[in-house]
Amino acid sequence: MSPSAPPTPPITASFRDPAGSLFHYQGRILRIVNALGAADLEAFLASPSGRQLMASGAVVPTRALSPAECRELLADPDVRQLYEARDGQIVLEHERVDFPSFPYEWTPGMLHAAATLTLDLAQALLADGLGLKDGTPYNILFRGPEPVFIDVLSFERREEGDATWLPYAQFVRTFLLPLLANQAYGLGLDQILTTRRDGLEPEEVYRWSKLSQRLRPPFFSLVSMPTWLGARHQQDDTSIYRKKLLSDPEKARFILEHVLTGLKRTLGRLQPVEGERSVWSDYMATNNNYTADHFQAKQRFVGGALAEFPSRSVLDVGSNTGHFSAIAARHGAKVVALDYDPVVLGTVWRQARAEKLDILPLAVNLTRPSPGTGWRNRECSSFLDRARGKFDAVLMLAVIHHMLVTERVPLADILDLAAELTTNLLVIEFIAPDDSMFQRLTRGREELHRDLTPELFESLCARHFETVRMQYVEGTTRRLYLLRKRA
Amino acid sequence: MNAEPVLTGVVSMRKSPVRQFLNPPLRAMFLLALAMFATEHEARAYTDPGSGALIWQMLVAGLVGVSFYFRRLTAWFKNRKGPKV
Repeated sequence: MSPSAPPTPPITASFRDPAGSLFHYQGRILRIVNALGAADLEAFLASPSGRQLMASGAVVPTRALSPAECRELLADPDVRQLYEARDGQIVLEHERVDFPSFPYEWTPGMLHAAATLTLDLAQALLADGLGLKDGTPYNILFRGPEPVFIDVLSFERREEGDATWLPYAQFVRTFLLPLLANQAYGLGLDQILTTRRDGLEPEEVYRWSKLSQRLRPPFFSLVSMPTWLGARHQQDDTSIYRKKLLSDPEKARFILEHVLTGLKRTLGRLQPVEGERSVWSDYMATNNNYTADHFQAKQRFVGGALAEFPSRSVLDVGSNTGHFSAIAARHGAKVVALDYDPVVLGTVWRQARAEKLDILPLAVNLTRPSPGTGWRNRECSSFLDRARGKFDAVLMLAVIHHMLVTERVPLADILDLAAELTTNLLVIEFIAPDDSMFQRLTRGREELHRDLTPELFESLCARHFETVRMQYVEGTTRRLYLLRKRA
Repeated sequence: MNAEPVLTGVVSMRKSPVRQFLNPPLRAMFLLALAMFATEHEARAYTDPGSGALIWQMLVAGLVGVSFYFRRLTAWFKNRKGPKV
């Protein structure tokens, strides 16, 4: 390091909220709150709606550390430095969410559920004279398939006569317009949200919209009117941002309730449709390469592996409609199901929610996983930084041919990554180049994969894993391996 | 797969476009929109993001505010005309 390099802060903490900072410390999720946030926070924690929302799981269970616990924590000089730099007054501890995920990894249905939760909270808090300071999907994580609100510093005491919902525009930009762009133009949430922390501007969507759409709901109120009104607004006139208090608090509340119900109605129109089809949506029903007998044998193999080696956390790579994720969840594992097709993942999410299975579906392509985003690429960590060593078992069923052929990732690298992700098991399916699905993908470039033999596969696996058992699935072109990581 | 029952509920509750047009505040909004549409302005650099959405919220709030008094008025009339016990 050069002598002029600035010292890196000892603990990385969130910095956007002036009222406090979130940081990770020895596996705990802690939040320092300063004088700016303390009163609002205490009002929330003491309110009936606050207690009810935490008990129901809508808001992440949170407690303030006792003076003795605080003293113990602040004995660490790094924590003390952060606490003093942020003028700390209170330290909170949040219940840990197993696998943090970000809006650009969610399915549209999940973003919709997060939006519904945000409006539900705003409505529930209104009764206790509380409100939300902001309305963004970054206030929410998923526990299995269920959204949970995590940013307790978003709650504030409302002024009685205030009829404006200040997060309105942000809520539209970060929830409603991405859902609209997904519904109307088929844009993926990854395409919209990976590079746009603050969502879509009405002006952007206006440029994409057809003349016939602009006067129709929900374009009219979400896109056209804000665009027209914004263009006419004198840019130096900041009077619209001055707080306007009505003399009649009952009227203010009536207006606010109306605004929130109006947003809920609009959100209802943006509900992603069920039963949508994509290239991969019918794969399990019609397109897969197994006979019913072989598929059952595969199910038994996976179920048997998870019964023999109980796994608390499972990563299912290329989950498709989540058949094997569901098997893992029924064996008591917390499952993260990856697939790059958000439509099939929508099915996984709905099933997990309906059957209360602990499955978190994420629209992530493991060959191009989500990068670290935000300031210094550190505000939201990359998928691999969150996933490495976090799973007791990794399932890679009927997926490596896609990584090998379509993405041209070398087999050795795929196995290296699998060994980084799992702490113990790898259940992996080998697909030989003469398999019909493999050949469908190679499209005449068979010579690129001529060296790929079961012997090569086994020797590459042996660098990280030992084989517990192997089983042929369909003829001799597909084999299932149960592997255990070497100590 | 079955259609989402909640969705069909929302759809069936919607009024016909003709009845919506007869609703005076909506008609006013529509005429305002037409006027805006006809005299569209090009947004320039350093636009104020969110200002349009905020002004729109205020316009809607104004209309809702009117309906608040209207509801109070009708409630008052109902009470006056209501059967006396």
